[in-house]
Amino acid sequence: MEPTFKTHDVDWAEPLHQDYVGRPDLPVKVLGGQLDSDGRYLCFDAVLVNQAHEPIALGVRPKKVFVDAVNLAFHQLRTKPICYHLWGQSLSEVEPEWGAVQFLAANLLEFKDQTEEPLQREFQRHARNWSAETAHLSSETQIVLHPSYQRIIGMGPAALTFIFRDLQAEPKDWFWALNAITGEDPVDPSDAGNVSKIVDSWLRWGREHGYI
Amino acid sequence: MADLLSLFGNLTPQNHKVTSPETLNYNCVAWAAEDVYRRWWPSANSRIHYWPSGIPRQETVEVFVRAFVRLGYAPCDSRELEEGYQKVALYISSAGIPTHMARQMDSGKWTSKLGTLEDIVHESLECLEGKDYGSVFRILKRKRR
Repeated sequence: MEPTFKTHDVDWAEPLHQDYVGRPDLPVKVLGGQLDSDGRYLCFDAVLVNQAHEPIALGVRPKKVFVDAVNLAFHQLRTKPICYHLWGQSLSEVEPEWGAVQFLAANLLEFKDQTEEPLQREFQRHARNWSAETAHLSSETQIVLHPSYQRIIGMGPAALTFIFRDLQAEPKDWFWALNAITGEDPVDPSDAGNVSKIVDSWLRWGREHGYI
Repeated sequence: MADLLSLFGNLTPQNHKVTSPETLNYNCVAWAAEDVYRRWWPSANSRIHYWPSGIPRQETVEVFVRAFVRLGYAPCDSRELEEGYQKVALYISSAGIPTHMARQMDSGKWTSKLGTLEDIVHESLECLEGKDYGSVFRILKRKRR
Protein backbone atom coordinates (compact mmCIF):
# COMPACT_ATOMS: atom_id res chain seq x y z
CA MET A 1 0.00 0.00 0.00
CA GLU A 2 1.34 3.40 -0.91
CA PRO A 3 1.84 5.32 2.32
CA THR A 4 -0.30 8.36 2.69
CA PHE A 5 0.39 11.13 5.10
CA LYS A 6 -2.26 13.20 6.69
CA THR A 7 -2.03 15.55 9.59
CA HIS A 8 -4.25 15.72 12.60
CA ASP A 9 -4.11 18.09 15.49
CA VAL A 10 -5.01 15.59 18.18
CA ASP A 11 -4.71 16.28 21.84
CA TRP A 12 -4.93 12.67 22.95
CA ALA A 13 -1.96 10.44 23.49
CA GLU A 14 -2.20 9.83 27.21
CA PRO A 15 -0.99 6.25 26.60
CA LEU A 16 1.83 7.77 24.62
CA HIS A 17 2.77 9.85 27.61
CA GLN A 18 2.63 6.94 29.94
CA ASP A 19 4.38 4.40 27.79
CA TYR A 20 6.94 6.32 25.87
CA VAL A 21 7.53 9.75 27.25
CA GLY A 22 7.02 9.55 30.97
CA ARG A 23 6.06 13.18 31.08
CA PRO A 24 2.24 13.19 31.50
CA ASP A 25 2.35 16.92 32.16
CA LEU A 26 3.31 17.74 28.58
CA PRO A 27 0.81 17.72 25.73
CA VAL A 28 1.52 15.76 22.56
CA LYS A 29 0.37 16.84 19.15
CA VAL A 30 0.04 14.17 16.50
CA LEU A 31 1.17 15.68 13.25
CA GLY A 32 0.93 12.88 10.77
CA GLY A 33 1.35 9.26 10.04
CA GLN A 34 0.52 6.35 7.85
CA LEU A 35 -3.15 5.52 7.74
CA ASP A 36 -4.69 2.18 6.95
CA SER A 37 -7.75 1.82 4.74
CA ASP A 38 -10.04 2.58 7.70
CA GLY A 39 -8.24 5.78 8.49
CA ARG A 40 -6.49 4.43 11.56
CA TYR A 41 -2.87 5.18 12.24
CA LEU A 42 -0.42 2.43 11.53
CA CYS A 43 2.30 4.68 12.74
CA PHE A 44 2.54 8.31 13.49
CA ASP A 45 4.85 11.18 13.96
CA ALA A 46 4.25 13.27 17.01
CA VAL A 47 5.72 16.28 18.57
CA LEU A 48 6.03 16.91 22.28
CA VAL A 49 5.40 20.53 23.06
CA ASN A 50 5.99 22.61 26.14
CA GLN A 51 3.42 24.70 27.98
CA ALA A 52 3.84 27.46 25.41
CA HIS A 53 3.11 24.90 22.68
CA GLU A 54 6.63 25.19 21.35
CA PRO A 55 7.93 21.87 19.95
CA ILE A 56 10.60 20.32 22.11
CA ALA A 57 10.78 16.72 20.94
CA LEU A 58 9.68 14.61 18.04
CA GLY A 59 9.13 10.97 17.59
CA VAL A 60 7.42 8.06 15.95
CA ARG A 61 5.48 5.41 17.78
CA PRO A 62 8.09 2.73 18.09
CA LYS A 63 6.09 -0.48 18.21
CA LYS A 64 4.52 -0.08 14.78
CA VAL A 65 7.07 1.93 12.91
CA PHE A 66 7.04 1.42 9.19
CA VAL A 67 10.54 2.54 8.47
CA ASP A 68 9.95 3.06 4.76
CA ALA A 69 6.94 5.21 5.47
CA VAL A 70 8.84 7.21 8.02
CA ASN A 71 11.66 7.69 5.57
CA LEU A 72 9.20 8.88 2.97
CA ALA A 73 7.77 11.35 5.43
CA PHE A 74 11.14 12.77 6.20
CA HIS A 75 12.06 12.72 2.52
CA GLN A 76 9.02 14.88 1.91
CA LEU A 77 10.39 17.19 4.56
CA ARG A 78 13.69 17.22 2.73
CA THR A 79 15.56 16.09 5.79
CA LYS A 80 16.72 12.88 7.43
CA PRO A 81 14.88 10.66 9.93
CA ILE A 82 17.42 11.27 12.62
CA CYS A 83 15.00 11.61 15.47
CA TYR A 84 12.46 8.85 15.08
CA HIS A 85 14.03 6.88 17.85
CA LEU A 86 13.33 9.45 20.50
CA TRP A 87 10.28 7.90 22.10
CA GLY A 88 11.18 5.93 25.12
CA GLN A 89 14.12 8.08 25.97
CA SER A 90 14.09 10.56 28.76
CA LEU A 91 14.03 14.19 27.85
CA SER A 92 17.52 14.57 29.21
CA GLU A 93 18.72 11.98 26.72
CA VAL A 94 17.13 14.02 23.98
CA GLU A 95 19.19 17.07 24.84
CA PRO A 96 22.15 16.40 22.52
CA GLU A 97 19.84 16.48 19.53
CA TRP A 98 17.87 19.45 20.68
CA GLY A 99 18.65 21.58 17.64
CA ALA A 100 17.79 18.82 15.22
CA VAL A 101 14.56 18.08 17.04
CA GLN A 102 13.50 21.67 16.90
CA PHE A 103 14.39 21.83 13.23
CA LEU A 104 12.35 18.75 12.42
CA ALA A 105 9.45 19.83 14.53
CA ALA A 106 9.39 23.21 12.85
CA ASN A 107 9.46 21.54 9.46
CA LEU A 108 6.67 19.20 10.41
CA LEU A 109 4.58 22.12 11.58
CA GLU A 110 5.22 23.83 8.28
CA PHE A 111 4.41 20.62 6.44
CA LYS A 112 1.20 20.39 8.41
CA ASP A 113 0.16 23.87 7.40
CA GLN A 114 0.84 23.15 3.75
CA THR A 115 -1.23 19.99 3.61
CA GLU A 116 -4.37 21.06 5.43
CA GLU A 117 -7.33 22.64 3.76
CA PRO A 118 -7.80 26.33 4.55
CA LEU A 119 -11.10 25.77 6.36
CA GLN A 120 -9.62 23.02 8.49
CA ARG A 121 -6.68 25.28 9.33
CA GLU A 122 -9.07 28.04 10.30
CA PHE A 123 -11.10 25.66 12.47
CA GLN A 124 -8.02 24.34 14.21
CA ARG A 125 -6.63 27.79 14.82
CA HIS A 126 -9.89 28.97 16.38
CA ALA A 127 -10.35 25.72 18.30
CA ARG A 128 -6.86 26.06 19.76
CA ASN A 129 -7.44 29.68 20.73
CA TRP A 130 -10.79 28.90 22.28
CA SER A 131 -9.52 25.92 24.21
CA ALA A 132 -6.43 27.73 25.49
CA GLU A 133 -8.37 30.77 26.61
CA THR A 134 -11.46 29.14 28.12
CA ALA A 135 -10.35 25.78 29.53
CA HIS A 136 -10.14 27.28 33.03
CA LEU A 137 -13.65 28.75 32.88
CA SER A 138 -17.00 27.30 33.93
CA SER A 139 -19.22 30.18 32.90
CA GLU A 140 -21.12 29.14 29.84
CA THR A 141 -21.41 32.76 28.78
CA GLN A 142 -17.64 33.21 28.86
CA ILE A 143 -17.07 29.90 27.08
CA VAL A 144 -19.51 30.15 24.20
CA LEU A 145 -19.21 33.88 23.60
CA HIS A 146 -15.47 33.55 23.06
CA PRO A 147 -14.77 35.07 19.61
CA SER A 148 -13.14 31.89 18.27
CA TYR A 149 -16.09 29.73 19.38
CA GLN A 150 -18.47 32.15 17.71
CA ARG A 151 -16.35 32.10 14.56
CA ILE A 152 -16.58 28.30 14.45
CA ILE A 153 -20.34 28.47 14.85
CA GLY A 154 -20.27 31.00 12.02
CA MET A 155 -18.66 28.43 9.72
CA GLY A 156 -21.98 26.60 9.82
CA PRO A 157 -22.33 22.98 8.68
CA ALA A 158 -18.84 23.07 7.14
CA ALA A 159 -17.44 22.96 10.67
CA LEU A 160 -19.33 19.83 11.68
CA THR A 161 -16.83 17.30 10.34
CA PHE A 162 -14.03 19.02 12.22
CA ILE A 163 -16.07 19.34 15.40
CA PHE A 164 -17.04 15.68 15.39
CA ARG A 165 -13.44 14.67 14.68
CA ASP A 166 -12.31 16.78 17.62
CA LEU A 167 -15.06 15.38 19.82
CA GLN A 168 -14.03 11.83 18.94
CA ALA A 169 -10.47 12.58 19.95
CA GLU A 170 -11.34 14.17 23.28
CA PRO A 171 -14.50 15.39 25.01
CA LYS A 172 -14.73 19.15 24.63
CA ASP A 173 -17.47 21.66 25.10
CA TRP A 174 -18.72 21.58 21.52
CA PHE A 175 -22.32 20.89 22.53
CA TRP A 176 -23.55 24.45 22.30
CA ALA A 177 -21.97 24.84 18.84
CA LEU A 178 -23.42 21.54 17.63
CA ASN A 179 -26.84 22.57 18.81
CA ALA A 180 -26.52 26.02 17.24
CA ILE A 181 -25.30 24.72 13.87
CA THR A 182 -27.60 21.72 13.49
CA GLY A 183 -30.71 22.92 15.29
CA GLU A 184 -30.82 19.46 16.81
CA ASP A 185 -30.50 18.24 20.38
CA PRO A 186 -30.14 14.45 20.51
CA VAL A 187 -29.35 14.39 24.24
CA ASP A 188 -31.90 12.78 26.53
CA PRO A 189 -33.06 15.34 29.15
CA SER A 190 -32.25 12.85 31.90
CA ASP A 191 -28.60 12.97 30.81
CA ALA A 192 -28.30 16.71 31.41
CA GLY A 193 -24.78 17.58 32.51
CA ASN A 194 -23.45 14.02 32.04
CA VAL A 195 -20.59 14.64 29.64
CA SER A 196 -19.92 11.07 28.54
CA LYS A 197 -23.58 10.50 27.70
CA ILE A 198 -23.84 13.85 25.93
CA VAL A 199 -20.75 13.02 23.87
CA ASP A 200 -22.14 9.56 23.03
CA SER A 201 -25.46 11.07 21.95
CA TRP A 202 -23.81 13.59 19.67
CA LEU A 203 -21.37 11.08 18.17
CA ARG A 204 -24.29 8.76 17.45
CA TRP A 205 -26.09 11.67 15.77
CA GLY A 206 -22.94 12.48 13.80
CA ARG A 207 -22.66 8.93 12.52
CA GLU A 208 -26.32 8.75 11.59
CA HIS A 209 -25.99 11.96 9.61
CA GLY A 210 -22.74 11.07 7.85
CA TYR A 211 -20.38 13.45 9.59
CA ILE A 212 -18.28 10.67 11.10
CA MET B 1 -1.50 20.43 32.26
CA ALA B 2 -2.24 24.10 31.84
CA ASP B 3 0.01 26.78 33.28
CA LEU B 4 -2.23 27.84 36.14
CA LEU B 5 0.15 30.54 37.29
CA SER B 6 -0.22 32.35 34.00
CA LEU B 7 -4.01 32.06 34.13
CA PHE B 8 -4.42 33.29 37.70
CA GLY B 9 -2.23 36.20 38.67
CA ASN B 10 -2.66 35.69 42.41
CA LEU B 11 -1.76 32.01 42.31
CA THR B 12 1.76 31.01 43.39
CA PRO B 13 3.44 27.63 43.77
CA GLN B 14 3.22 28.16 47.52
CA ASN B 15 -0.49 28.98 47.83
CA HIS B 16 -2.08 26.17 45.85
CA LYS B 17 -1.82 22.47 45.12
CA VAL B 18 -3.25 20.52 42.18
CA THR B 19 -5.37 17.66 43.48
CA SER B 20 -6.87 15.98 40.42
CA PRO B 21 -6.33 15.39 36.70
CA GLU B 22 -8.11 17.57 34.16
CA THR B 23 -11.66 16.50 33.33
CA LEU B 24 -14.74 17.83 31.60
CA ASN B 25 -16.99 15.59 33.68
CA TYR B 26 -17.82 18.19 36.32
CA ASN B 27 -17.25 21.88 36.80
CA CYS B 28 -16.75 24.32 39.64
CA VAL B 29 -20.40 24.52 40.67
CA ALA B 30 -20.75 20.75 40.66
CA TRP B 31 -17.55 20.49 42.71
CA ALA B 32 -18.86 23.03 45.20
CA ALA B 33 -22.03 20.93 45.41
CA GLU B 34 -19.92 17.76 45.81
CA ASP B 35 -21.18 16.22 42.59
CA VAL B 36 -18.47 14.80 40.31
CA TYR B 37 -20.83 13.17 37.83
CA ARG B 38 -22.50 16.17 36.20
CA ARG B 39 -21.68 19.69 35.19
CA TRP B 40 -23.89 22.27 36.88
CA TRP B 41 -24.74 25.60 35.29
CA PRO B 42 -28.03 27.47 34.71
CA SER B 43 -27.52 27.00 30.98
CA ALA B 44 -30.28 28.12 28.63
CA ASN B 45 -29.83 24.72 26.98
CA SER B 46 -31.26 22.40 29.60
CA ARG B 47 -29.38 19.34 28.32
CA ILE B 48 -25.84 20.62 28.34
CA HIS B 49 -25.74 21.29 32.09
CA TYR B 50 -27.63 19.99 35.06
CA TRP B 51 -29.47 22.56 37.13
CA PRO B 52 -31.83 21.85 40.03
CA SER B 53 -35.40 21.66 38.80
CA GLY B 54 -37.64 24.58 39.56
CA ILE B 55 -34.80 27.08 39.79
CA PRO B 56 -34.56 29.48 36.85
CA ARG B 57 -31.82 28.97 34.29
CA GLN B 58 -30.34 32.45 34.42
CA GLU B 59 -26.78 33.51 35.18
CA THR B 60 -27.60 35.62 38.22
CA VAL B 61 -26.39 35.67 41.80
CA GLU B 62 -29.91 35.05 43.04
CA VAL B 63 -30.27 31.89 40.99
CA PHE B 64 -26.95 30.47 42.23
CA VAL B 65 -27.90 31.29 45.81
CA ARG B 66 -31.24 29.57 45.37
CA ALA B 67 -29.55 26.44 44.02
CA PHE B 68 -27.35 26.22 47.09
CA VAL B 69 -30.14 27.11 49.49
CA ARG B 70 -31.79 24.00 48.03
CA LEU B 71 -28.72 22.09 49.28
CA GLY B 72 -29.13 23.47 52.78
CA TYR B 73 -26.89 26.52 52.56
CA ALA B 74 -27.75 30.01 53.75
CA PRO B 75 -25.95 33.30 53.04
CA CYS B 76 -23.45 34.43 55.65
CA ASP B 77 -20.98 37.25 56.11
CA SER B 78 -17.73 35.57 57.04
CA ARG B 79 -15.39 33.57 54.87
CA GLU B 80 -13.44 32.39 57.92
CA LEU B 81 -13.57 28.77 59.02
CA GLU B 82 -16.39 28.13 61.49
CA GLU B 83 -16.42 24.95 63.53
CA GLY B 84 -19.18 22.64 62.35
CA TYR B 85 -20.00 24.58 59.19
CA GLN B 86 -19.19 24.08 55.54
CA LYS B 87 -18.96 27.15 53.32
CA VAL B 88 -19.06 27.85 49.60
CA ALA B 89 -18.09 31.08 47.85
CA LEU B 90 -19.55 32.60 44.70
CA TYR B 91 -17.34 34.70 42.44
CA ILE B 92 -18.82 37.22 40.04
CA SER B 93 -17.43 39.24 37.15
CA SER B 94 -17.27 43.01 37.10
CA ALA B 95 -20.58 42.84 35.23
CA GLY B 96 -22.15 40.96 38.14
CA ILE B 97 -22.32 37.61 36.32
CA PRO B 98 -21.42 34.48 38.33
CA THR B 99 -18.14 33.03 37.15
CA HIS B 100 -16.93 30.50 39.70
CA MET B 101 -17.61 28.70 42.97
CA ALA B 102 -15.23 27.34 45.60
CA ARG B 103 -15.84 25.11 48.63
CA GLN B 104 -14.16 25.41 52.02
CA MET B 105 -12.43 22.35 53.41
CA ASP B 106 -12.14 21.21 57.01
CA SER B 107 -8.70 22.82 57.15
CA GLY B 108 -10.09 26.24 56.26
CA LYS B 109 -8.42 26.11 52.84
CA TRP B 110 -10.59 26.19 49.75
CA THR B 111 -11.00 23.72 46.91
CA SER B 112 -11.92 24.68 43.35
CA LYS B 113 -12.46 22.92 40.04
CA LEU B 114 -10.96 25.17 37.39
CA GLY B 115 -13.28 24.84 34.39
CA THR B 116 -12.21 21.76 32.44
CA LEU B 117 -8.80 21.79 34.13
CA GLU B 118 -7.80 20.36 37.48
CA ASP B 119 -9.14 20.64 41.02
CA ILE B 120 -6.89 22.65 43.24
CA VAL B 121 -6.67 23.40 46.92
CA HIS B 122 -5.94 27.09 47.50
CA GLU B 123 -5.01 28.92 50.63
CA SER B 124 -7.52 31.72 50.25
CA LEU B 125 -10.34 32.89 48.03
CA GLU B 126 -8.17 35.75 46.79
CA CYS B 127 -5.92 33.24 45.01
CA LEU B 128 -8.42 32.97 42.15
CA GLU B 129 -9.66 36.53 42.04
CA GLY B 130 -8.74 38.45 38.91
CA LYS B 131 -9.77 39.25 35.38
CA ASP B 132 -11.52 35.96 34.59
CA TYR B 133 -13.17 34.96 37.86
CA GLY B 134 -13.69 38.50 39.13
CA SER B 135 -14.09 38.64 42.89
CA VAL B 136 -15.96 36.87 45.66
CA PHE B 137 -19.42 38.30 46.11
CA ARG B 138 -21.33 35.88 48.32
CA ILE B 139 -20.49 33.31 50.98
CA LEU B 140 -22.98 30.64 51.98
CA LYS B 141 -22.75 28.11 54.78
CA ARG B 142 -24.47 25.02 56.07
CA LYS B 143 -23.88 22.64 58.94
CA ARG B 144 -21.31 20.00 58.08
CA ARG B 145 -22.85 16.64 57.28
